[in-house]
Amino acid sequence: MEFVRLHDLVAYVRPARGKTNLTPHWAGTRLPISESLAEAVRATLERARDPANVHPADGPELPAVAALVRAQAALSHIPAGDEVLVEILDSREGSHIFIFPFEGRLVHGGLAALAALRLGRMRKTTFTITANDYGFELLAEHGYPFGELYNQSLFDLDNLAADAEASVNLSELAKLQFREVARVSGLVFQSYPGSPKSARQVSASSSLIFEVFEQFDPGNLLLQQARREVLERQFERSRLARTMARLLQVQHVITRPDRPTPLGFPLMADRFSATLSHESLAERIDKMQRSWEEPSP
Amino acid sequence: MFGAVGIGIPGHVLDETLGRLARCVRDLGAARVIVTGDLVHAKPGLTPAILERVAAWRRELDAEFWLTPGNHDRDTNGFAQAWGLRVCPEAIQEGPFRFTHKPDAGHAGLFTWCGHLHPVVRLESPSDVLRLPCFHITDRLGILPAFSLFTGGSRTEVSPGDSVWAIGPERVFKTPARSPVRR
Repeated sequence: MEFVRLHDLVAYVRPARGKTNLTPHWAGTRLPISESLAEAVRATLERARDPANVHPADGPELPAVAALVRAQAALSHIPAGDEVLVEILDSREGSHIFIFPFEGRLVHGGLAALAALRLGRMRKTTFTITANDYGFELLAEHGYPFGELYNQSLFDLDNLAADAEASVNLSELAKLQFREVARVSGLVFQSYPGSPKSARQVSASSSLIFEVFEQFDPGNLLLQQARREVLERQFERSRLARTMARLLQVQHVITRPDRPTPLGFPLMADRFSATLSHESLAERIDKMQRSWEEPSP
Repeated sequence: MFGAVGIGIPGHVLDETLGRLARCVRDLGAARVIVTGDLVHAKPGLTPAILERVAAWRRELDAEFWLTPGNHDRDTNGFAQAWGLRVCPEAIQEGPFRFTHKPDAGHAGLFTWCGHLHPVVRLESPSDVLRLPCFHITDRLGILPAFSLFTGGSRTEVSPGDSVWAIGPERVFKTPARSPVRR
C-alpha cells in the first residue's frame, strides 16, 4: 500500500508499485507515559549502556534497537539513571538544545515552556518548542548561546507557580488547548458524522477566535478555561515539581554532537510544536528579514 | 455573524475596524472608498443594532462609498441604502485601474484590484514562522488583504515574477514568498 495524501482527515492510498524506503508507522497516541514506566525506561537505558547486558532472552526489544543505542553512545551519551542528558547542537535550522528527563510528553511540554521562559529572560529570543515522551527541544536562531546559559538552576522550584503561569501566557500552549475548549463550548462546529471538516479548518477558526478574545476580552471565561487546562495538564503541579526536584539533584551530562542523535532526531522531525517569544512581532520580522539576507552557514 | 447566533464574540472587533477605516479616510482626505466585496459576511448577522451602528458611523464621513458586491453580499437591499453605498454590480473602472470582487481574467490595458481571497503569507526563517496578511501583486492583478482583523485567509499560488508584500505592525514590506508546498 502506498500513501498518496491526507485530505480532510482521510488518508488516500493505492496499491504500491516497486519498493520504497519509506515505512509509515503509528507513532502512538497522545497518552503520555506514566511515572513508573518513565522510571523503567530510564533503568532499561542504563542497562543498555553495556552491550553485555543485552540478552535476547530478556525480550526482543533491546536487541532490536541495539544499533540505535550504539549510535547514540558514539555520537553523544546514554544517560545513567542518575543523569540527565543535554545535547547542544547547531543545524541548518539554528541552535538546538535537547534535554531528556524521560518523564512523559505532557510534563516535558510544561518543562520546555518553563525553560524557554527562564532562558529568554537571560537572553531574549523566539523559541520553537517540541516535546515527546523522552524529552524536549528548544530551537532558537543561529548563535543563541545555549551552552553559556544552560544551568541546572533553570529548574529551580522558586517562583514555579508564577513562572508556569507566565510561560502559558507567552507561549501558544493555551491557543492549542483552546481548540478543544472552543469545540466543546460550541464556538467552533466540527461537523456532522460523515461530513468531516478538516482539523486544520477547526484549528484555524478556533485560533482566530482565541486572538479576538485575547485582544478584546482578555478576561473571557473560555480563555481562562484553556489556560487552566494547560496549567493542570502540562504543569500538573505535583509531577512537574517532583520532576524538577529530580533535575536539580542529578548530574547533567552536556554533549555537543555534530549531528542529530537517535534520541534527538524524533524531536527535530516532529514539527507539532509551539513557539514562546519574548520578542515583539516587529522584532521577529526584523530578525526574519536579516535571515533572508544572510546566506545560511 | 457570531453575534447573530448568540455567541459572545466581542463587538469591539467591529468598532476597531470602523475606527481604523475612518482614520484612513480622514488621514488621506479620501473622496471615495471602493469596497471590493465581502463588506457583510452573512446577512443574519445584520441586526438592527449593527445596521444603525454602521449607519451612524457612515454619516460622520464625507467620502462616497462604492461597492462591488461579493459572494457574501450579493443581496445588498438590506444595507446599501442605510449605509449610503453606491452598488456597482459590474467591475468599476477608473483610470488605469479596474476593481472587482473575485480575481478574473482581467481587461486589456487595465490593472485589476480585487478582494475575495484575503491572502496571507507564511514567512519562515530557519527557527521561526509567522503568518501575516499580505498584498499579492501579479503583472495584471493586485489581490488585496482583508481590511478587518481576524478574517483568516488563505495562502495564494505565487508565480515567479509576482510580488508579495506583508503587513507588519509598523510597515508593509516585500517578502521572498513562494507558493505553499503541497504535501
